[in-house]
Amino acid sequence: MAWKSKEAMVVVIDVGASMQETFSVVKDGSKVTRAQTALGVAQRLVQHRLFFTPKEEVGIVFFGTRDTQNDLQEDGEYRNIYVCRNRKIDVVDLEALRCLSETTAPKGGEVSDAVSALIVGLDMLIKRTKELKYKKSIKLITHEFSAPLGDPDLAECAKQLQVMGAELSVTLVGSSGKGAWAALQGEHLKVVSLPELLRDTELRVKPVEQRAKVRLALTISPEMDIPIGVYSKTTRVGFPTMKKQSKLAAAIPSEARKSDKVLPDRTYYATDDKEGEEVKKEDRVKGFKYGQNIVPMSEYDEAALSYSCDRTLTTLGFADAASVSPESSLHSVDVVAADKGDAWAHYAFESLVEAMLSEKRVLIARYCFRKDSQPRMVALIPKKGDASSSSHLVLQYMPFTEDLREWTCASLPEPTAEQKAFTNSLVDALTFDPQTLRPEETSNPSLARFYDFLGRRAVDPGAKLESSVAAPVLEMPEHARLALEKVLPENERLKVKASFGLEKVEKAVGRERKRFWRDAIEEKTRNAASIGEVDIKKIKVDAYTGAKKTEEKEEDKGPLRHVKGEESQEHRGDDSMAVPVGVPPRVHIGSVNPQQDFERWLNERKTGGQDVVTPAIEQMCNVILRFAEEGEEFHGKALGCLATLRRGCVREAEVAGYNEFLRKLRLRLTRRQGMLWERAAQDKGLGLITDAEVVTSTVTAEEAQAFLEGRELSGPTASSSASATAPDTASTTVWKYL
Amino acid sequence: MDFDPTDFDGPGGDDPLMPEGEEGERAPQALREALVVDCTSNALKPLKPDGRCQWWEGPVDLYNERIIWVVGVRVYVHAVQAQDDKVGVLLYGVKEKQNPNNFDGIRLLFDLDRPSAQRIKQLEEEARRSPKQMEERYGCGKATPVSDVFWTSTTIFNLGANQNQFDSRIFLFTCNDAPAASADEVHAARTRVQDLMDMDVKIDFFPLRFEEKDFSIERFWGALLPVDPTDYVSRASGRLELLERRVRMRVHRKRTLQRLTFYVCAGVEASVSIFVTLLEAKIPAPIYLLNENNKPLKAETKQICEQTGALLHPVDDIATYVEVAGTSRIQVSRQEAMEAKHFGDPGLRLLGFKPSKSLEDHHRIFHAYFVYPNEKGVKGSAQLLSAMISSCLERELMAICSYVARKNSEPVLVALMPQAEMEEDGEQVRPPGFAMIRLPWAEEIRQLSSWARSHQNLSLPPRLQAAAQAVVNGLRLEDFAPGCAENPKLQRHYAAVQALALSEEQPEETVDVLQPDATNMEKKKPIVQAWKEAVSGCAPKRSFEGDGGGRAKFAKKSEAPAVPEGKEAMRALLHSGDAERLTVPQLRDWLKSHGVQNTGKKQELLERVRSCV
Repeated sequence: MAWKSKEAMVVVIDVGASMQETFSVVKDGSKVTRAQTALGVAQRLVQHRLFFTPKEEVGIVFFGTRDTQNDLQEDGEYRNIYVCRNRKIDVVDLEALRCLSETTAPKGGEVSDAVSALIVGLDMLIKRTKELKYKKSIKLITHEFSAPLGDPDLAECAKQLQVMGAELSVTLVGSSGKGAWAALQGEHLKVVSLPELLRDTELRVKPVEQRAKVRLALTISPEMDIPIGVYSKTTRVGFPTMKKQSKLAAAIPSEARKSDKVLPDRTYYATDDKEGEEVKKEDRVKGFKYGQNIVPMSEYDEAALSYSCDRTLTTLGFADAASVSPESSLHSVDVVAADKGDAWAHYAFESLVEAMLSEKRVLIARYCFRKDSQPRMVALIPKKGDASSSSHLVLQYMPFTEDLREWTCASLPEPTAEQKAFTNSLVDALTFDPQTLRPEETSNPSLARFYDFLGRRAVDPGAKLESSVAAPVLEMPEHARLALEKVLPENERLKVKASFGLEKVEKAVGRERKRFWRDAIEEKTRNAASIGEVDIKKIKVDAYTGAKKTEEKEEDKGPLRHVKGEESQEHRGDDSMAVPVGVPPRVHIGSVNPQQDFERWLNERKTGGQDVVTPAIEQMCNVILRFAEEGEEFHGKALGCLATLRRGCVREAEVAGYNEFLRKLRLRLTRRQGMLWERAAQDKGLGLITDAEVVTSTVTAEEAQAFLEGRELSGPTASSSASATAPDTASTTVWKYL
Repeated sequence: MDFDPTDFDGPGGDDPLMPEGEEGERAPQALREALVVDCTSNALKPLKPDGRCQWWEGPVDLYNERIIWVVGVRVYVHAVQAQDDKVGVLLYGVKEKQNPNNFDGIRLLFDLDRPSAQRIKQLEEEARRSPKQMEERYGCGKATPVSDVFWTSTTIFNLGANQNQFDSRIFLFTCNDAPAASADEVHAARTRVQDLMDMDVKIDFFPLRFEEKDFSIERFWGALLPVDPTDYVSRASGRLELLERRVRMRVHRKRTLQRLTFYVCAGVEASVSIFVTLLEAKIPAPIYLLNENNKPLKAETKQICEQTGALLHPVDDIATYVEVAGTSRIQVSRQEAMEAKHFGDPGLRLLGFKPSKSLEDHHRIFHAYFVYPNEKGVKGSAQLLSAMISSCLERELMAICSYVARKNSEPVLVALMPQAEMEEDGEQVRPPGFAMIRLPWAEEIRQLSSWARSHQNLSLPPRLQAAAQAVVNGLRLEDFAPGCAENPKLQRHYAAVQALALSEEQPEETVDVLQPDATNMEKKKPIVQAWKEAVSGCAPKRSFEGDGGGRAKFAKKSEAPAVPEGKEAMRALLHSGDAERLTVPQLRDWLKSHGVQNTGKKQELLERVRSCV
């Protein structure tokens, strides 16, 4: 591996008079001068080096400044040129970024002379790099008029560049022509536009040397091995690592502080002995769950029983190219290419790629990159070399049986012609050419935003993250939006919504619509064209044969439907499977958790909607009676329900519902109901609802007491006028009894 | 694989795929399964007159045996998947009554509990019994009302504490398609099923049919048992075959990863559910035990300040920073890093369409997801997606969308590949919907321009091409499908755990299917040989040792000579020039033992050694 040579870059920025003109206007109306733009560009260049290639050395030269500070100023020349960072080229650091911030950058506005500045820059480069092997470059950001046409010094500079092997890139901000630079363009001097200059700073990622991560042999058969290398093709790139520092240590004066590191410490304790000693590593043993048992597996067991294999890339066979799809890729992909500099391998590899392409086959192989590592099943997809890269195989990691989670989903409804017309026009309007949004050219907006923030925070610790940033790649491209506007104006969209029946379901109300096996089978048979042939492996479905028509089927099912009850009638012929909106919820109280169900339904009323309380009470009564009938062991539960019912009725002021039910219960219509009543009567809390609790009640506390004891005080119901009396008097009666 | 904060599948053995509960409802952690076996009538009758079962070619040929076997596998599967799942086994139509409700003819063979090694052994024994022994042991043919069966199941589920922690399911195995005749009985059964559904219990129905008689689902069960409205329904209901697979793997429930709004264009919105259909299964993380008594240990992680030795609060006492250029720190809080990812609320936003072909083979960075309409979010979504899928399929297009999975996740671009429904023999093999492929960012794609340019434009002689094609054709792999092989490492691991749990001598043999077909390779030897010769005709084969690894290239460095003991030996070494080959640590040790300063570069060290001797 050849040594990567060091790099040195000098950024030469014009902040002179000609740069004070407005370059662009920001949305809020504030103007941005050319000098500010130039500064911004320089910042980006330095930032990128600071974050991703921090070994690179940087020098910063301003010209057109009020102050003068450079190595060549002694003899009164080279005025208005200001070299930052102690007039030196040095490894990039935060300081370099700071001298480019608008507040600390030297003040400009004077006459600018690009040629002199360039000479200063060259002088710095020469002093720094001497005879050493460096990759040298100068980035000059200026305006067309800063260099006079036909300056002999400029020609001299161009020659010097050639001698040094340095590259000069000139970027002219806000100029249409190329000025004096046009004549000098060549291998070492290039005029580049602003976006071009920034292109290599767009990718927020550390540039990496491409190196094979594994070199081994692709075994076709025991006789045939091709030496190859495996390279990473895609890798996840996330935010930079956030390191931890202790705030406690930060509070200590720096002289006394040795470090402010945070050390993670993981200790193991016996679960049942929290105060106990830490368990040392040698006392620990690994365990694996097997049902409710945890099976200890000692290192010895592990070594004896675990899987072991050699490193390999062995062909299993050549499968149809269509059998490998993007859905079956487990994660990122790698690339396989013939071993570098091995002609034999290249011929073998190239012929393999060609053959696979012409036969439309992919190679399925076992891949194990290191001894005893997890063997993988991989697909090698051929890719013919072109101008930018040589032939290679894309190595896609395929899933094992254990990795697949296969499940089924209901079939989707067949779209109508109208619906299809809409999606067709939508698709046609929004289809872009393959070059738009190519992954290779689309960079991650989150990374850009974070690094931009990091750059500003580096200079100014108080800098805040931009609260809202538009990310064009995450929005529909403008041209597509306009095209869509044309075929489908805003006001047409309501029609579309209606055509699909698009309607937001606010919240699933009521109980879910049920679908029974029979409905499902019915749908299936209706859709399936080949009903005639019955697969004997399948379960026979009654009543359907190919000859019968749909209507007849409906008739056939008449009696069956009765068995199923109203439910099936409700949704017969309804193709969609969602809960119909607007249909009143059907109150249902089950016998499993009747109390909860009841409470839920009562709450339902509070949230608005139809009256569900009356049916809820009715059903609750039925549930209680059912419990009563089912046997004595359920009477406890029945009493619980009764208490809930009473509570609910008091809260909802539904006096009649409860009291009527209780009176009915007291009639002891059946033996078991009687038994339940006897138990209920012992509980004072289950008596009739009195007027003290709910004003509309016609029952006084006295009456209620008597009712429970089985005495008849007066008529079962007091006169309605009694209920109209003031609640005050009613409550005093209660007090007497308490 | 690296951990991706935007992914929820994260590392670790446990299944972190928590479905996004509606309104903060807690997602169940584990599964409860009641395996209900019908023994009412015909239970011991062979499914085929000759005593062979049509699906199962093994030694198990009788209904009950087969079911017990299946049940055994089921319990086993749960044991293997190392979860907190609970399984119970219930027989009905048997002579003995043994159940919490004291109903006749119902026997709870196993309580609803986590499976254990003992149970599996017991079930294995049961499966070995002959029909006669079965009859003696349990007795069959007792008429038992179906309503009682469902009621008992309800009771069993109710007895367990904290229902919200579990997904509950009943697996019902029966060969009787008309168990109850009276209307009362049907009505009662429906009430009980209703109760079960109120508890969110799912019922999986596994009917078995006899050779001479069809099983009619219409006769009784069809009106009783509900189906999942979002699931595909094939005419054969539950597939016993699926349950019988004794693969050592975790069973995954179909669970929604997220429910998101799908913004088609301004004003037109649908709702979709996202599923994970593919995720790398790994050996579960071990639980550490104390080796004396095999009791589980609790781990505790603390953050300690190196300077003061104090215990640090993970939020209040720790600041975070990003280190740049090796030394400089830029203070950034976790909150800020999170906000930098925020570009909008969760959702799937359509950007446009591109030809499917423009998705290149290397545009893979993550596993795929599956997108299916969610009618419970926006009604009509199914219609819209269905129309979109067919439009895309006709034009061979894929949809490009931006995807924000949840509140704090990074936005990414995804390609939605339309996927038509595919059926085989009345079974769905591919559900309809979109496969969602995450696209890599430009930062995530490595450019591989530098390699191997020297050998470009090789002109291949036609003979070589033909030879290579013959090899590709000769080693064809027909009917290859992703996921056709089991993970040999995982299989071995589970077999090992089982062997240790059941104290077996040797773990069950696992087959490594990920191996080339040796016999075919032997057969095709001549064509491979021909290709090899054709290649050698173009360029000489470079000889390399070993397996072609990088190490072969570098000749072994001759070993450094042993460190001489005394000054005499060192003098000899210096004289012969071998001292140069001594390593720096060796020189340092020698100098130290002779009481000389041992710092500096190798040349300085050697100088000092020389002056010393």
